[in-house]
Amino acid sequence: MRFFMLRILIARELRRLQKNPTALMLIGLLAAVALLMATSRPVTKQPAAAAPRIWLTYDHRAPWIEHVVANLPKSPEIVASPREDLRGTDGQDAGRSLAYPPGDHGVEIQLGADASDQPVIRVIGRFSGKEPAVLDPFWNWFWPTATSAFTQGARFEQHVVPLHPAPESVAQALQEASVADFVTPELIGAVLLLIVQFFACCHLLVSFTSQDRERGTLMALTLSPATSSEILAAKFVFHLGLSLGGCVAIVAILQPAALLQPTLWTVLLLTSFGLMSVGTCISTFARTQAAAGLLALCYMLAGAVLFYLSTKFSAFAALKQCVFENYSFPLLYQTLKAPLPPTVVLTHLATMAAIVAVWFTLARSSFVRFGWK
Amino acid sequence: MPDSPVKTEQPIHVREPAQNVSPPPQAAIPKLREPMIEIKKLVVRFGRFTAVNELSLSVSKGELFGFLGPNGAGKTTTIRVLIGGQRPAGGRVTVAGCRIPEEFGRAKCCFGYVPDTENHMDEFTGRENLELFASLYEAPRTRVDDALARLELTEAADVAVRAYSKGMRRKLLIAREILHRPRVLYLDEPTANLDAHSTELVRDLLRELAADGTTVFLTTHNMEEVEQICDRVAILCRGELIDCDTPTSFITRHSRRFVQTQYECDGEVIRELLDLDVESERDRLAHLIRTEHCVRVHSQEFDFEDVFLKLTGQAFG
Repeated sequence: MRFFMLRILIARELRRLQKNPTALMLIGLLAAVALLMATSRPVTKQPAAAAPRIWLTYDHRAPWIEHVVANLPKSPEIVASPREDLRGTDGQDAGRSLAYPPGDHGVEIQLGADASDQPVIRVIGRFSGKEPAVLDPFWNWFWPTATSAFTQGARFEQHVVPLHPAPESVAQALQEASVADFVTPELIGAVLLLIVQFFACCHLLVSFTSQDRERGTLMALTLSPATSSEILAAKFVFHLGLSLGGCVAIVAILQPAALLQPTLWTVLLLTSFGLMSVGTCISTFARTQAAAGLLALCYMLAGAVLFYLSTKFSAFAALKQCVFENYSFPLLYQTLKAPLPPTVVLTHLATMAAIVAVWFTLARSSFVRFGWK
Repeated sequence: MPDSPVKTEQPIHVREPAQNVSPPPQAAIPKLREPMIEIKKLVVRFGRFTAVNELSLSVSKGELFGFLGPNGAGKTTTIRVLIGGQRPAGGRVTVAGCRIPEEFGRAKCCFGYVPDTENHMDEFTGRENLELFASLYEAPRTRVDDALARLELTEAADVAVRAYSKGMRRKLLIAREILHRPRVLYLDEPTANLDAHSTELVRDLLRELAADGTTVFLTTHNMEEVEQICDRVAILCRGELIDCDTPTSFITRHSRRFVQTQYECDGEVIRELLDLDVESERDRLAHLIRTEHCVRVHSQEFDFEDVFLKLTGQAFG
């Protein structure tokens, strides 16, 4: 492998891209999508992203309540307020609860009477989501604080019910719904990264290489002193650079901290290499540029079909284990979501590297033997 | 096909390097030169179809060699083997001392190949195309300008190739392949789509290259071109070598001398074609000239195209 030869061939690829700037349009569009996601996130996600608050409301005033309100903890954040309109409601009826901001929880203190007409204080916890345990920190603070204010006995009832959104808030939510509300930025980020990598490493490589082959440029280059391996290496370096450039732009926009993760870089490199190897095989065996482009798209769709079938049939689930995208997508998602040391996913990375190595060997040998002919 | 017509062992008649457009004397300076292309019993098969069958040839340094044959004769397949683009089923091929395809990597720096279809990077200018290949061959940049000037492309050098005419693309292809001063130059129909002036320009260039020691191996369907510039010609038909010789020898060996006569007899004008290689017809011509009122006597020349048609026609049976 001669460095000066690589430099000449990479310069050729760059100049070619410069002459065909439309090829970069998709990468630019995907980066723009990431930018939009990042800039729109504070507006739509800020309330949810902040730690949920607990709204403590009470229908009457009493010394013990004033004691509780005077000793609110720093965490969890509790907002206390009197609400006369709670009086007389049934603590078991969650449908009659107050409307809280999305994601927040509520605790309502109601003074009532039991069946024998004895006074009873009902403390009704209303939790968002599916886990009642989210109110545990509140109870851990509330009961010691509340009971410490009593010198005489009092009868309490604790109820915990899920907080259903009010009908009017569902309608409002639907009206204000956007894609960002249904999927997480990490999920969109992982999808964008995969699309950029597929486009730069597979589709664009297939398109350029098949065009080279179809119009005989590849033959002219191979008959020059440049070896087939050098031509292939130059293509790999160029498309890898393009892919990593796009990916870095997207990650920097969506989750800049993830760029410091070795796992992310490893997954990006392996996925890019895998896709370039697949693209090389396609462009080697497809007769025309049109056929090669279609085959590249078919490869992507076949992957999607395989992933779907693997959820239905165990045979396909086994087959899925042999596809490197099976590892790259979850790993990309996880690295965007939270730091993921390589040691934790060593098996996944090793399996992925082995699959990519097989593809690369196949791609190199087929390109050197038949690629230019 | 027997090997007998292949005259690989005979001395090559190399003509003077020349500015002279007319065909040089074939027997000018006979001398033995080192063989640059050696093909021995080459066989190429595509499935059951045999495209080239036991072809044996030897082309020397500085020779301008014509490789002819009707469509589908196996010319391009042979060139593809020579450039390493086709693996032969049998035989031995050596180019500039390197075995093909075993030593393809070493051999490819020694040759240039002008294919029958152009293979430029259309979005690049003519100069950018040449500069790229000059860099790959580590040839000085001055050769780019020289090649552009030699092929009369200087004015269009900075125009994208997609705007070139077919003839200009063809010339650019030739310019590209002479940048690295190859020892062997393969050309597949180099003058196709060229106007008369450009054709002459390319022929002159090929003559110069051969004179400078480059072995030129060209296929063409232009028989006039073969007759004008080639030192030796091989005719291939159905994958087999029919004959290999100098154009003059071909004409001498295969042509028949005819004379077209026109005379008056009983008030009628009669035309008669006489073969001078047949004694009775020679006598008849003498008799006509002596006794009848000959109006016209024309010799009918037999050119290389007739030889080609005759030989390939025989091969087709």
